[in-house]
Amino acid sequence: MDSRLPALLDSIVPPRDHLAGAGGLGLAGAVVADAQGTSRDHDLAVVLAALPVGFENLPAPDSYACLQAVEDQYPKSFATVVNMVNTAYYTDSRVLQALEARTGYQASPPQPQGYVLEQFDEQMLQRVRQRAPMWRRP
Amino acid sequence: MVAAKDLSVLELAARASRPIDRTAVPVDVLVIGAGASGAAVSWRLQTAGRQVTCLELGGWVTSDRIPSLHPNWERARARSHHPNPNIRMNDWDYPVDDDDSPIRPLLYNAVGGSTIHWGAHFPRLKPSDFRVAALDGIGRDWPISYDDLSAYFEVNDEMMGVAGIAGDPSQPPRLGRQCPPVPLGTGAARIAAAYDRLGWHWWPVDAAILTRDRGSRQGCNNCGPCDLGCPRGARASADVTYWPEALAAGVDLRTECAVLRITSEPGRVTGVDYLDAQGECVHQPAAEVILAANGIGTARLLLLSATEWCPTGLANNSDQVGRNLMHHPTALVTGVFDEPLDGYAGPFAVSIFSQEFYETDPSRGFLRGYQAQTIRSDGPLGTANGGYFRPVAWGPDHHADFDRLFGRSASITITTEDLPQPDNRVTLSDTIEDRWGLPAPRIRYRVEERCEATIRFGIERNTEVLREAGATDIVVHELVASAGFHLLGTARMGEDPSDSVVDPMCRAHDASNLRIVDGSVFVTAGAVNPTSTIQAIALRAADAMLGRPFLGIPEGLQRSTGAIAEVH
Repeated sequence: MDSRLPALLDSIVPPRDHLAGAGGLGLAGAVVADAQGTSRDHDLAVVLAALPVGFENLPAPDSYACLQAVEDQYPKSFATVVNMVNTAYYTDSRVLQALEARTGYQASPPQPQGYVLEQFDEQMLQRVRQRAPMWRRP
Repeated sequence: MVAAKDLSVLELAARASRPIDRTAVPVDVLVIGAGASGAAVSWRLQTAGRQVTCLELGGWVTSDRIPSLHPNWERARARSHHPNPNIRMNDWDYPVDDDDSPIRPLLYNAVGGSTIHWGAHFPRLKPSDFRVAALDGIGRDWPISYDDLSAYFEVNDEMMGVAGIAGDPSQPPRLGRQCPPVPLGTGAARIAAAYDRLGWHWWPVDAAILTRDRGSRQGCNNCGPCDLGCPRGARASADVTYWPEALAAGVDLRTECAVLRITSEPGRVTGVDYLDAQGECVHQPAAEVILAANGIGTARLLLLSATEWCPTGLANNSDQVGRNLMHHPTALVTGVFDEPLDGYAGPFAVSIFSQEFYETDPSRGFLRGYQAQTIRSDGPLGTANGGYFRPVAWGPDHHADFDRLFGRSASITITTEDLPQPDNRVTLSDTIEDRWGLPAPRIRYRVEERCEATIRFGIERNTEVLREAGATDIVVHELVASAGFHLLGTARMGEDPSDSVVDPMCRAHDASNLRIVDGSVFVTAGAVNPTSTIQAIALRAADAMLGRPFLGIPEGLQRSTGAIAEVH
């Protein structure tokens, strides 16, 4: 694996609070796997090829400036890589658990738990019900 | 050597040639496609005493395979369960050559068809939608009316199970729904209040979603991603509604069967050739054939069935097969609010709609109108990758941007009415083949200027609504590329065999024992989701085959001074 990949991931989704960034969470392998055998592989290769040697050692402001230049030069490939990094990050259980702690959004899959919502209140329709029919009779 | 692009339809169709391994025992009625319309027509015919065999390209989607039960559900939504077959690339899919279309067709091959992946919004076309030419002087009139379908709408609602509420002034009267409406959630409630302040129409949608238990199906638990399938069976799909009853009645449903061509002789069809699940090439003779393979698949199969006596495609003497492809060109306006709306909870596509601007008002500068449908928001991955809004910023602002957007947005779609254009069409691709070596369908499609004008007007109105509702930031998608979920018009219905493919009973003009019952037969598109109308047409076509008197105005509704009056 390209040694610059974890740093690339961290620059796209950096650490927050007590949670490491996408690279620090060890998601580079997931990104490579997501790309494998698809057109995304080409986009990842384009972005990596555009990174300078030693990218992983750049201080944050320089790495962001460097990535901005890559995005300007290869917008489609860069967008695909961002999409893959987001995909790895926001499906990681540690990230989802942190999100649950922060917002109440449940980290578990939508089913079988689901959500409880207030039932529809028919009183809301009071105004609309007073309207005359508004469909046309041919 | 001749380049593929120079091949005729007949020559392209010849690629479907396979040596026949065996000829099966003849069957009575052969239905191609087990989706919304194929299921409905199979059930209706079988329960009335006909013997139905149905061939489906896909298989059963079992509930344990539904991604919303699994941690990686959002990844599945973007990859393996994407509604676009070109992205999903499942074994059951055929590719679609869509490079010449700004709207990407979405479809699904399985028992249940595209209802496996739909949002279950379940409106009906309106009476005026069937009389576009007479009322507004554009498009074409249907040879059938809303009244011809009204009883079939009710039968279909009973089979599918609909949540909603009576009394909507934008709709003709109808019988009661099976369940109360789906919950609005905070976002839709704010938008409804905004509609009220503006004095505009809104109403809870009719959704093919059970909000309480019904038989073996459980009520909805508001999990959100209906488009991934519903392990509770709350969100209707043809595999959990029509098919259990159709199979119990004796339909012979054969899955993972790829139909290569419909065989024919002058004036009639004789059966189909198909590859079965074991890869054996079978000739299946049939007394009658019904096509229910969606607005792209049906046209493709008719073109693939070209032979000496119909060299441009089966049932294509009118040259209308594949033409007049209609979607619903759709814009999306998304607002971000300064408080959590928890928009990831609740059926993502259904809450409320507005038809304030549905019927024609020439003062707007365009004819016909649009429907506005409120959409909830995304899960975390969908939010980050910008499903409804825009992708979250990468880099140092990533987390702050994510927090500002996640669970705090609500969207409104603007669904416009497509009208038939002969050059918007399905043909056979000369560059892309499916895994059986058959030409993929090729789409050529342009959005009509009238639709663009409707979209511009709708964007202004719905930006106004979202601002009134309190949105602090608004993003507009002027044309949603991934809104090709409605595939209509490519084998249209009409009285005149010279400019239509099927008659008002869905019988092919050129083949007396061939019927088409999917969205292909639509004459115009309306500006609403078409599935309930497709199924009502399929049920009516079944009654035509059975020689039954057509169902009239349902009990509970009565005619009054030329219109239907509602009796509550």
